[in-house]
Amino acid sequence: MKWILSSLFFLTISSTAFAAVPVVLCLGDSLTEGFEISPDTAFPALLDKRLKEKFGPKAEAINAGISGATSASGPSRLKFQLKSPKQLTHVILALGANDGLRGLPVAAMKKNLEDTIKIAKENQVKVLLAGMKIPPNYGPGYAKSFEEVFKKIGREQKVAVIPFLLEGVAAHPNLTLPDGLHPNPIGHRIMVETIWKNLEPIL
Amino acid sequence: MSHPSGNLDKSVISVVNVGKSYSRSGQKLSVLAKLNFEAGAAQTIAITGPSGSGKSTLLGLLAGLDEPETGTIRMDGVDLTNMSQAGLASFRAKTVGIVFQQFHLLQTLTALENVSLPLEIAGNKAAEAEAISRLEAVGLGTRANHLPSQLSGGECQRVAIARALVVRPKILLADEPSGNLDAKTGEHVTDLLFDLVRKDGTTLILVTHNEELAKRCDHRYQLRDGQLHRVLR
Amino acid sequence: MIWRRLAWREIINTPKFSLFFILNIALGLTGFITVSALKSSVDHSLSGKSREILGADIAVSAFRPMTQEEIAGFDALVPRGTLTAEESGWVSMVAAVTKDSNVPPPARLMEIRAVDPTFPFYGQVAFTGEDGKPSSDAIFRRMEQKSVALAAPELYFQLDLKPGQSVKIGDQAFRLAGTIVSDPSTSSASFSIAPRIYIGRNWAKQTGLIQRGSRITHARQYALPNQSTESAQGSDQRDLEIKFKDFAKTRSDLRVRSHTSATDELGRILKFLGDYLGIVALIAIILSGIGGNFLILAHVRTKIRDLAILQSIGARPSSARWIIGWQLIILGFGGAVCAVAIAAILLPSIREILAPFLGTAITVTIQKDSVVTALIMGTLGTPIAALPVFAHLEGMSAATLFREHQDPSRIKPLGWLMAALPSTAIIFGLASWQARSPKAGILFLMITGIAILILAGSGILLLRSLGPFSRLIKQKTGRKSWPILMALRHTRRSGQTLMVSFVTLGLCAALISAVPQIQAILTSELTSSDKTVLPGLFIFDIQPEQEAPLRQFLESRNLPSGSFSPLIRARLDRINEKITGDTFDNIPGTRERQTEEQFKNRTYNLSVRGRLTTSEALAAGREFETVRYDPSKQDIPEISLEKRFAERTGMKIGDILEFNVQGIPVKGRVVNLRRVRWASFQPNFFVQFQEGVIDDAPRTYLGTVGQTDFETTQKLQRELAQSFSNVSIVDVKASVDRILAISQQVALAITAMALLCLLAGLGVLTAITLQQSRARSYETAILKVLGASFREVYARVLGEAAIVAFFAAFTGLAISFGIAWVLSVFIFDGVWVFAVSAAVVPALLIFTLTLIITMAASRIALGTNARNLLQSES
Repeated sequence: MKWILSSLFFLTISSTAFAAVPVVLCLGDSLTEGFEISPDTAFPALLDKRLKEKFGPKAEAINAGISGATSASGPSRLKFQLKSPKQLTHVILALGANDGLRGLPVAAMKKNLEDTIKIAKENQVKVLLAGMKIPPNYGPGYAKSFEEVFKKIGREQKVAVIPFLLEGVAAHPNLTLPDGLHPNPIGHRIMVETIWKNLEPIL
Repeated sequence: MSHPSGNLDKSVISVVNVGKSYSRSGQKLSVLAKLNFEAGAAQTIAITGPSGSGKSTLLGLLAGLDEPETGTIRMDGVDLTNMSQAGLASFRAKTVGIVFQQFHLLQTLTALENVSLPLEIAGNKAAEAEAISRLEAVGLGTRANHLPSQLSGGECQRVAIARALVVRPKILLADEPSGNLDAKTGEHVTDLLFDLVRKDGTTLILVTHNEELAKRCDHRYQLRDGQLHRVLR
Repeated sequence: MIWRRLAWREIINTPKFSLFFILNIALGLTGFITVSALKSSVDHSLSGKSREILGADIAVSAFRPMTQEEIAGFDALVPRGTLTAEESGWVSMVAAVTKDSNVPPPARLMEIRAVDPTFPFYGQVAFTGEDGKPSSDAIFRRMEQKSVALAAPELYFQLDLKPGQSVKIGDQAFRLAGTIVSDPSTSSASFSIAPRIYIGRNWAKQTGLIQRGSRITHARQYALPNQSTESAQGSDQRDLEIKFKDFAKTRSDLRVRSHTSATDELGRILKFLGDYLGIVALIAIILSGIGGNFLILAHVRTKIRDLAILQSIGARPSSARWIIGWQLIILGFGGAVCAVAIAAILLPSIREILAPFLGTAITVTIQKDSVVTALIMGTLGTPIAALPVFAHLEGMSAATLFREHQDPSRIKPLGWLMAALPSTAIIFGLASWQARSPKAGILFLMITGIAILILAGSGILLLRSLGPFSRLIKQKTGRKSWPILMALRHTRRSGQTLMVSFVTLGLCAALISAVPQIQAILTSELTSSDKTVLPGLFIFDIQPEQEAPLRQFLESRNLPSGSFSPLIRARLDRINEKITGDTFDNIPGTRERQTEEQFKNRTYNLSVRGRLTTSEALAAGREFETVRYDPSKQDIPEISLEKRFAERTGMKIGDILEFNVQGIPVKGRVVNLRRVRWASFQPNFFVQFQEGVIDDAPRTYLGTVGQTDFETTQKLQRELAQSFSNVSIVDVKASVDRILAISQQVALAITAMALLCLLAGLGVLTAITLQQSRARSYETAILKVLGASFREVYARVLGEAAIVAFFAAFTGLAISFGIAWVLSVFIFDGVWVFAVSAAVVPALLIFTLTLIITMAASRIALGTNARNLLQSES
């Protein structure tokens, strides 16, 4: 009896410990993957380091960035990641930039992101939606409706939203690669601060 | 062993202790050994000997076309053995004329061109006129513009004689001049040769098998065992 | 002076030799001049095309406006008289201007190019005006004055617009003044998802789109003043590009593009054409060098006595060199002049043949510098190439004149080799120059050297084996076969002479048959794509759940079928259990920054493909054991790598690669290296796995659809936007067609050159064979004198020629496979196939031609009186 109790006790302890350690999936595109830079310098790796510092070695941030990915890939990719033995606690949903760059319909993007969020919720994974903006040259109408979608989803789905993932990075030549689009390693360091500011409250 | 008599200073050709050998399939074959020989100005000298006795080798040496292994060859007071190729060439151009058994005319040149060639080589400006007069001297003035292939054997050899004598050489080397000709033509050609040689006071070295021909010379030698042996009349 | 005169007399008096010699030199140099002319005209035509793609000679661009200092810096580099223009480009949603402001107007993503009135410096944008008819309006000038735009037809179709209506770009409305029909600057390199619309650069500000955070390309373009010659322009251009890149070095966000670098895929094909033409020109010259040497050698052999005679009458030994030297200079010059004349006569007809492919505008003109080069090579190169013959003269002794039988001078191998050095150096120089790398020069020398060694070796073997062979014939046939026996005996005993002609014939055969082989390989490579499977559309970002419905959708619309390739993003973590991080940080030999960065990231798009497609060829290793990975039979999945990728990364067959596919480790063993065909337009991937390995992994599909017409494409686009909103289409038809047209043009040029080289080679061969027959005629005459019948003598001569020709042609053929292989592997990117028929035909041709010429020449020789022959030879 005593043995059973202690084992039960052990189980509870371990499961609470498990729940307390954040395992964050960074589901994104080239901005997450670390386009043309070493993956060690991309924000998921930086976030991983910070999580481990705060929550111990079991805490983790997983880089699930795929260059060129659009929001349409969100649901299936999240499902795939949920099959992994790792117990995901959070997902940073950083998709949509390519939808914008390709001028895809904003409504379709909204639906894709919502579908992805629903799957996360169903699996008790907390969502942090990374807001994106599209460069002004795309035209005022499109750019505006594009960036508003993220806030709207945040309100409707009651999920945390980063107002702009590339805040303080976009359009800074020193923080971006020569393509003027993708952040360089220094840019990623700023991005991780922006993320942390919004992620910490929901950890 | 016999020494030709005569004053060294006066002799036009002086061959002292000349040796020459060939190596054939690894074996050294001595052709000329310690050969001595002299000839004076305007002398006619016949050299006879069996095939392979070294007549051709001796002629090659006298013409400066070949080098002896030992000994010295002085021609017209010049030591051939210490001469450069260029020096030998100009020696041949000025001092020696050669008549071959096989004529050895340049097939692509006319009779006149063949005859004037040595003068041209020597840089003579009046080459053509001189050549014509020489061709006339051998009786071929009318055939000056014929190619060797259009001439008979005797005519070819007459062209060759004209060519050999056109520079008025001190020495004429003749290698079986009638060897390739029929008896009558041969006789005609040799008559001509002796005539011209006597007229010019040229020293003639005549290599031949023909005893009759040899007899017409002032002196006769036989080449045997690599040396020249004087044949007395 | 006298030697020159003698040389002249010699030329006049030996007309046959002189004619052959001039012909030989002329053939080689005609090949050279024609190839140069063709090369430069193809270069010209294609560099014109690449200039049109860039629209300028050189351009600098950045995703920011350039500073005044930068502009001044670049401007200082270009020569006086250079034209400059500026351009801005960006993508933006373009909406139709509608009267009803309540309904949001339909919009489409377009690529906006704001250009100067001088646009474009090169090429022409063909368009129809508002009336729908082809227009020659100076529309780019009009754009400066008015807010008008010239748009791609897609815009009209997608937004239901007509010319004359207006669109809004940002805040500014533009009247659609025309429809683009063809735009040379639609580069095949940048598959754009957004169709193009042109506006005036001064109107760019009015759109309000150029603001902080906007992603705008700012470009400054330069058109250089015209240069007198194409090649001078080419080298200036290269210098300028280097200077520009140098200046931009410290500013990594500036991009310098020259028209030569603007067309990568074309550049690759062009480089191969250039290399090929260079090789052919070189082979033509080498062949004529070989033929020339052979002729001179044969000539000198007959003249050696004359040279001795000259010495006996007082000419210096060097005079022989002078006479022959002058003779060669005069004949070489004559040959070069003939070559120029022949080329001038030939070129118009070559242009006629090529006109449908190169376009009527193309001019195939003789290049001044190639004429000068040909004259120099003919006049000075001929005596230099003949130096080995001079070495031959060194062994000559005038003393032999006193002997009844003259020993022909023998070749001294060392002296001969020394004398061959200058011409070797010339060939090396030419090869290096043609291919612009000393590697090619060394390669060419090695090829020729090894070929000569092999030929000499097999020549010796042949000589050795003839003895037993003739004994065998004698036993079997008895006395009756004396002509053959004699032929065998003579062949066996003529040693050196035979070796020279054997090696010469063999080398000619090897080089001649190598050319059509390479031609066959290259043409098959350039034209391998079957027109029916050429892609017209690329469809990308197809999600896994969209694959099946999309396939159905495409099938239901009867679109020409294409392929679907999965694209799986993966990071390479380990090679043979070693972590890749360090090894990949400094990869040697990668020039392109982008590639380097890509390697740093170590992330690739893998694909899954069970077997090689028609656009791929196995370069090394074996095909996958099975299409699908079978865990019960295979310990580890199999991987196929793209060859050049493997070379860059140093991965090889047998390596075990471990990829991280979205967090899951996937291992595989490299079993083959794959080469992608040049004319392939199919999607291809660096790394391909067996099927059934990473089926679960997140993926998208890249689909292709065969070529369709514009309407169908546009309809498809509309329908896709409704049912598969994330899926995008890129129309690649125009690019594919353009590259294909150029490939075909290049293939044709290659074929034409192969034929020309074959002709020149056979010409040289004819000269050699004729010379050989002439050399045999003396002996033939003796046989006739001895009472041999015409038939017997004929059989003997032919027998001998046949023995040498047969063995030389087929040893040469064997060697040619080696040559084709080496050139393919080292110069043509590892492309090699066993082009048997392409090689066997020339070998047979060489063999039969040699026999026919010998037959004809012998008949003539045998017809003449034996006495004459003996006389003229004595």
